Amino acid sequence: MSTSKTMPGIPAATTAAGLDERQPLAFEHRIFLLKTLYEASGELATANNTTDILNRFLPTTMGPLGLTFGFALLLRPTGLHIESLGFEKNARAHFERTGAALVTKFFPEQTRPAHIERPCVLVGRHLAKDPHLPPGTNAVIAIPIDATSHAVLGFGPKLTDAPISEVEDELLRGLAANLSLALRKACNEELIKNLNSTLSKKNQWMEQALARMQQTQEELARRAFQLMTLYETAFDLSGITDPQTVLYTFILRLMGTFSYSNGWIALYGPGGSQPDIASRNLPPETATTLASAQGRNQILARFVELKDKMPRANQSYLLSDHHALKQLPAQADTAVLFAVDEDWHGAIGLGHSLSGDPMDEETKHLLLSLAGTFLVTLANTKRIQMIERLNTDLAARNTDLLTTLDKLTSAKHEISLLTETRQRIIGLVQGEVARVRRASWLDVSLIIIAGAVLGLLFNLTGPSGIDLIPPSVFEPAPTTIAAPKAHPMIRNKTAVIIDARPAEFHKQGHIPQAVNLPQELFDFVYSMKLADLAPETPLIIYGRTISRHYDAEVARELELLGHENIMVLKGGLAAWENAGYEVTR
Amino acid sequence: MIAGFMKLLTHPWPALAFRLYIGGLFVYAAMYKINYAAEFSATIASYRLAPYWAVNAMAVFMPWTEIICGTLLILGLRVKSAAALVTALLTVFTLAIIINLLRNAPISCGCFHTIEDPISWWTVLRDLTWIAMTLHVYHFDAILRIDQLFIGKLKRIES
Repeated sequence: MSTSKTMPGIPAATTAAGLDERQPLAFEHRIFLLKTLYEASGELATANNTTDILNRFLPTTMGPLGLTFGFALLLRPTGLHIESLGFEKNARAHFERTGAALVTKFFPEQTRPAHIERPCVLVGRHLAKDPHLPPGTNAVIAIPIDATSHAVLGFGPKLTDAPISEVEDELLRGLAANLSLALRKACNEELIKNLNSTLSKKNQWMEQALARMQQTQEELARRAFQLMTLYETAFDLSGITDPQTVLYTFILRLMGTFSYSNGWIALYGPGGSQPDIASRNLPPETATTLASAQGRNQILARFVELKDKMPRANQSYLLSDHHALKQLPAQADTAVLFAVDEDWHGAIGLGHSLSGDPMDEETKHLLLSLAGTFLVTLANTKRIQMIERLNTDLAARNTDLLTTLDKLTSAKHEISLLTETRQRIIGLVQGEVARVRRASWLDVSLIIIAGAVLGLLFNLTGPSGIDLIPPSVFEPAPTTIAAPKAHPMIRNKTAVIIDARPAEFHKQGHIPQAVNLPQELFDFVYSMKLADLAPETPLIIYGRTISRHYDAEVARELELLGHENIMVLKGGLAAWENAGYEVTR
Repeated sequence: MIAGFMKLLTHPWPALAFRLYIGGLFVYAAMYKINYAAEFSATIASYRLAPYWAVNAMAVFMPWTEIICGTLLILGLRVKSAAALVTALLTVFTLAIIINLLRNAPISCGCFHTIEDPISWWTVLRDLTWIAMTLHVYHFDAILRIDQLFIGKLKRIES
């Protein structure tokens, strides 16, 4: 590229004489160019957008310079924008295919500066040879708008086919500078507009989000209130085991939660059992009416009306029909029919809302949820009551069982005792039978003992009693005399020898001269034979066996009669014979 | 014949007769001894077998034992025990007689009275006969016994 240093429109071979004539023309030309620059600046300043800027810039530039054609390529992130003037119609299609490459040629991505540079203006016929540019291109303006937007403009030759002069080149540069400013301004405005639009959308979205958040917060608050109410209701009802207390507690809770001035609950059991009624701030006759058979039938009639909607076990149904509400036995603005199980049914009524507003869907839902909690609690209470009743029955049965067990144990003990007694009796019987059939030591012993006892008694009490033990056993032994010593006394008759044995033994054999004096015949024999003896006469007595001491007994008798010298022959007749003395037989 | 004799020998009726005889004999013998204990004591002493300190007691107790045994035999109560005891007493008496016969003791039996004929081998034979009768009673006695009534009632209790 080469730029001419001469004034545009002035021949290079102008002489000094002709300089004065051509100066006004040069000034007019310069003024024309300055006006052009001024007008172009004004046109660009009033343009609204980049398309308008380019549309206005091309004729504004081409006209004053007398250029045959011009084109403008604006490459932005949103796409390629093409404006042309002086081309054939198919030239636009050509730029759509090659425009992006042309812009990229001037602003390769690797060499794009971080900051915005000034526009670059290329002027020269050599540009016509560039394959990327349309044929005949004589000037190119490359304008960096921002980091991602660039513009490339090209212009054809002048109508006069004259080269672009230095002044025209400056004009072109000035126009490029203005265009650059206008494009940057327009791009910034578009960017700001886009940002505003995006910000507006985001603000709108934020407002919507805020509205949704507030709605969600309100929903959460309502849910929290419902959950808290459910929790408090469940907490209040959890520790209660009496159904009547459950009814009173629940109706109070409902009145407080939904701001009703009065309320009632009626619970009917199977058959004609006594219903459970709880009412608040209602006249006493209301409870009576609810407890009556008529009240029961009126409420059960609402169940019949519901037919397929009738609440089943552990379910509740909100009664919203005004006609049905009026048919209830007690006044209620809102009523719930419920069924604990197949046998227990009832209704809840709330009257005189303090707020005066009808229940919305959320409140109705909360009411039904509370009714569900109430039903669960009531069912549990019924079960607890049933369990307690079963426990009581079981305890009673256990007591009966224990009593029966004690009786059985006692009876068993008695039976065992009786069995043992029977066995003992049978044993005794068998023993007795055996004793009868054989000789037993027991019987023999009993006979001997009986004989001993009877003999002892008779001997003690009878007239012919005797000493059980002979008295001689306890008396001192009599004086004895040995046979050798007694022999001379007997032979010399200085002593009287007495045979104390029975007569039969005396007859069998005795000491010579012995007087037979058996105890049985003592008095008779003594009086006959010994009565005349002096008391001091020695008397030698003999006769003794294992079974009887005849000598001692006779000696005692003689002693009692006053005889003083009584001696017993030691060893008796046997000792006498053994001593070799004579025996009379 | 032998069988008939054996049948007769083992029949309860002879046993009943022997029982009543021996029972009456002991009751009769005891009656005298009970009333004359001193004389009976002398009789026991004459046998020279019992120790002198036990003679009187035997004279007091033995007659009552005899009368109880005799009564039981007559009534048919505890017949076997009574018969066994009577057999034992008769055996003792017989042995005592035999011993004194061997000693040539000039004593009387003392079975019924104090003054009797001296003991002899006939006495031993008589006692042996009584022992045989008592053994017969022991083994074959079965009728007219009060025990039977008692046993019948006990049998009912047992069943």
